[in-house]
Amino acid sequence: MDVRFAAALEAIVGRRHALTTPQEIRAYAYDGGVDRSLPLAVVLPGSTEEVAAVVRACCERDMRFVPRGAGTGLSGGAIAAGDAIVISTARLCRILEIDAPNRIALVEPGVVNADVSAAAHPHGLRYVPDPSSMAACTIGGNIAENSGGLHCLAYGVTSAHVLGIRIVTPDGDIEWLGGKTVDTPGYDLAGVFIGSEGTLGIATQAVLALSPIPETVQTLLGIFDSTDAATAAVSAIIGRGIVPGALEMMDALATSAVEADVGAGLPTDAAALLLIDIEGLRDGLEGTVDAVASICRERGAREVRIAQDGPQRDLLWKGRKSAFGAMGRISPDYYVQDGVIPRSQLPAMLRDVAAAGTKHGLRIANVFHAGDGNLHPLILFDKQKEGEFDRALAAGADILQACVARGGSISGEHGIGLEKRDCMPLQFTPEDLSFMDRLKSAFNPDDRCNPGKIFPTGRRCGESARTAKSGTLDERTAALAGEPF
Amino acid sequence: MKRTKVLRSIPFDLSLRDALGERLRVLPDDCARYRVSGVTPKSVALPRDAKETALALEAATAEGAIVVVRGAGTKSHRLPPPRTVDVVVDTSSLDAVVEHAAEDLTITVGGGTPLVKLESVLRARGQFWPCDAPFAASATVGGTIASNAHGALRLRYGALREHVLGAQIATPDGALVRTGARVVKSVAGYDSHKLMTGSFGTLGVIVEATLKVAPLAETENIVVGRFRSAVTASAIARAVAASPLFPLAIVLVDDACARRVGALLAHASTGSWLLLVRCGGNRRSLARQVSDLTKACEATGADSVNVLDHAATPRAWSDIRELTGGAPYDAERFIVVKTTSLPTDTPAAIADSRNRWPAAELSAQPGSGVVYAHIPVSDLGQPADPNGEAPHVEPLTRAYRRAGWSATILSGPAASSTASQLFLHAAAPPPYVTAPSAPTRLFRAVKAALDPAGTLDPGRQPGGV
Ligand SMILES: Cc1cc2nc3c(=O)[nH]c(=O)nc-3n(C[C@H](O)[C@H](O)[C@H](O)COP(=O)(O)OP(=O)(O)OC[C@H]3O[C@@H](n4cnc5c(N)ncnc54)[C@H](O)[C@@H]3O)c2cc1C
Repeated sequence: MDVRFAAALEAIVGRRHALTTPQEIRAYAYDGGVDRSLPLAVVLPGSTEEVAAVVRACCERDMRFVPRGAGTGLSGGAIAAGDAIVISTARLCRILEIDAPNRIALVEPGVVNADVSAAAHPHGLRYVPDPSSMAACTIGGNIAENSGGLHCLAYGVTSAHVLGIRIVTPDGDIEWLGGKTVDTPGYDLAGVFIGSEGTLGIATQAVLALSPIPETVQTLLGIFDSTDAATAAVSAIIGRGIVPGALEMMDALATSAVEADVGAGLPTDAAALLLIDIEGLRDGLEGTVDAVASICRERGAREVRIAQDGPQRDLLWKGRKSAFGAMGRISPDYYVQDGVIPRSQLPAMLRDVAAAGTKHGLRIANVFHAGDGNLHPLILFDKQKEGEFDRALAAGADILQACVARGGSISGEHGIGLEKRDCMPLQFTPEDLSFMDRLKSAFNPDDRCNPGKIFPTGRRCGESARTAKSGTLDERTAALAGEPF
Repeated sequence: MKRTKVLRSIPFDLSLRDALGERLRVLPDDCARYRVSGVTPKSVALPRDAKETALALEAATAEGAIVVVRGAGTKSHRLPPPRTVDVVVDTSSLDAVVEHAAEDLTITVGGGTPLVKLESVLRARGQFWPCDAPFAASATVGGTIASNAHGALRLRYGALREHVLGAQIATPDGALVRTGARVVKSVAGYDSHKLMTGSFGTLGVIVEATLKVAPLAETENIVVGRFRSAVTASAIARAVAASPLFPLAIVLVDDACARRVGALLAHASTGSWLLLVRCGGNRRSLARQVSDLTKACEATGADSVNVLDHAATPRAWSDIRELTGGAPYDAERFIVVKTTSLPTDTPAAIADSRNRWPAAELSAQPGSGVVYAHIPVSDLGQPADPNGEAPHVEPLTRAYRRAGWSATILSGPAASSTASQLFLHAAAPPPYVTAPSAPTRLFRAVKAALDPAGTLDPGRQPGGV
């Protein structure tokens, strides 16, 4: 990298917070997905003003930049595609204010998701969106991906819990989109910034809405001998007008991995498990719990367990939250997909997923947000075996195709990033995409902020940058050869 | 934005006529019925479907015409008035229920679908769209989204934008684009449909929308507490909103507003405030909520606490939702100002409105920080005190900026626009909005990117966009 540019960055953030050596920046080449690429440098600004100064320095030298939180995004959104620096929010990690009477929190983007609820807890409040990655992922990443969580079924995903975002625009200005109050006049730019995958600017502060902690919660475990029965129960619960706090599903393969990993006491001989939270006032809760339990039984649950106490409940949820990581117990590598379909299509869709596994000769585990119809097929493979990685990508593409065919979407919460950009034409016409592109140009006309993400490049869905051998991307990435996948 | 072509007077050039044939009306009588804030359009287009809507926009853009989109016309009194209107595009024919996926809690409808129609389709399956917008009897889904006109249910269900999952939009260049999806969760591409909420038809026409709906509560009540002080009532509202009781909605109304709701007539009393808490759930949960709320009101000195039962609640709520600048407030006789602040500032915002406009009817969502002032036009410019002294009120713009509040004039008679400006003390430029730090530059950039020719009602959005 140009030494004068490096010096300029150091002058802004301080020497310690500008990383350029391969050892230092290695960890920034990866976000848990299938793509990887080293940035030219990584800077860690300590304030909104420093972010703006870094962005302006980039503009002056026509340098591109990628905002990055914890790097758990899975779709390649937080890695540099081509020559770019990474702007990490790791030092922007303060909770600036918990305003309990107004039920809001003012936080910096590098704050870890779970820390917000922890800080709000003494006030009887919580920050509802709770992705399984909540112990690591950041609010900035959550905003960029419009992240969902286990409890978003009843209360809505990230966008329902963000009132305002302070951003540094791709040309280095500082603006507030929305604010501390509702319905700020003018276009709802916060609404469109959320879920824009870091392509419209860098969030440097956010006003989050906090919600009351329910008085009580009961957790049910529905144990089924067929996935069809379990998915039918999901539709029946929602169809009966009950919207549980959380409604998650795991199939046998996922359960066996979880059991091997954390030992949550889940039955490994069941075809499918439903994990259901019913929340609310103590009074009347039992009625809802009974109704859900009997719906499960009507649809063929062989057993419905109710967690007896907090520790038991936490153990069940720990099992669910550790499911991705647990795949390591049963497979050297896995590739997670993130399609969404109407809930009523779940039974048929799970058959599509299984068919994709059979077709490509790979095992696929399922653990997902059933209540939302948001699938997470975990395609298991061994990258050491010739061709398996390519087959995993092909199976993923088949699954996405099936999601769109069933009236759904190619991403529920992990975003498009690099990984799925060439799948966008499955779901959107050229006119749709050009409309989005024009919207992007209003914020990011030179594609300097998180370049190369979301929009298709003309390759086939399922051909990741890693397999497509795309020039500079691969050259630098070659330096990573031999790293664990 | 420079307009490239100057529109010749009617009749229109052939393209618009070709596109719409009979569906383009130019007779003065027809046009007069479509006045936009007092301005009579030169023509009215009545497209029958999405494609015709797109064609109309394309032709209008090609001719350099200015288009105002209209659903049922319930927000046709938005201020400031447009400088000129060449074509009103009336979406009321786009009223098909395309798909109600009841077990998926989604519904897809045409942008011109009336809320009454939507609500009756949903009610038949025990569901509702949790967006209790005013003008329920006539407003359309598209118009409601475009005006971000939601009510107090936001407390439990969140902002209106959360209940729009996807849309088909006709753009000024005549394209039909889809954004979002027909499923409850999607991050594929930008959520451009969220940009439509509150855009008042200035970025595109919502020809179809997929909505996220919710099951109706098993049973519902409204707890009605009467208080002498808005400060006390607001404090209870905040405490309840932060408690596990987590009600569906909380509204605070003054006695004048209360008298517009049949079910509240018996409880209204001059100078008093009614705190209305709508709660729902199964029987036991509801009983607990009602009992806790009653105790909370009594403990803080409510004059009386009453409960509207499950049978009375729907009717009462359909009146209450109108108290946000809705049906009772004839735009020829009232100016409606909406103020947003932090919930803890709501009592101060209420006091400020009362002081500024003594005859205004006030309603508020004290848990969310929203106040609606319905100001009789006859009251404007009248000195408040009988000695004829002008009241010493700090100019609104200055006061609000200092407090970090926003104010928007939702509607009023076109002729009062000067008066409007006056009572905002001239400092708020048209369109009479004051906000602490609006990203006006980005508003302009978005408008320029999506409507480069300035076809769609330019100049009336905040910042003159
Ligand atoms: C085990 C595991 C479980 C997961 N479970 C869930 C789940 O249940 N629900 C869910 O929704 N997701 C889940 N995820 C995905 C991921 O955790 C979320 O997308 C998360 O929000 C990413 O946060 P991050 O801080 O890691 O962001 P990163 O990966 O660092 O970045 C993600 C995107 O956000 C952008 N970005 C980051 N910070 C900013 C900022 N300040 N301003 C602008 N753009 C920014 C980046 O450019 C990138 O495009 C899971 C991931 C893993 C590994």
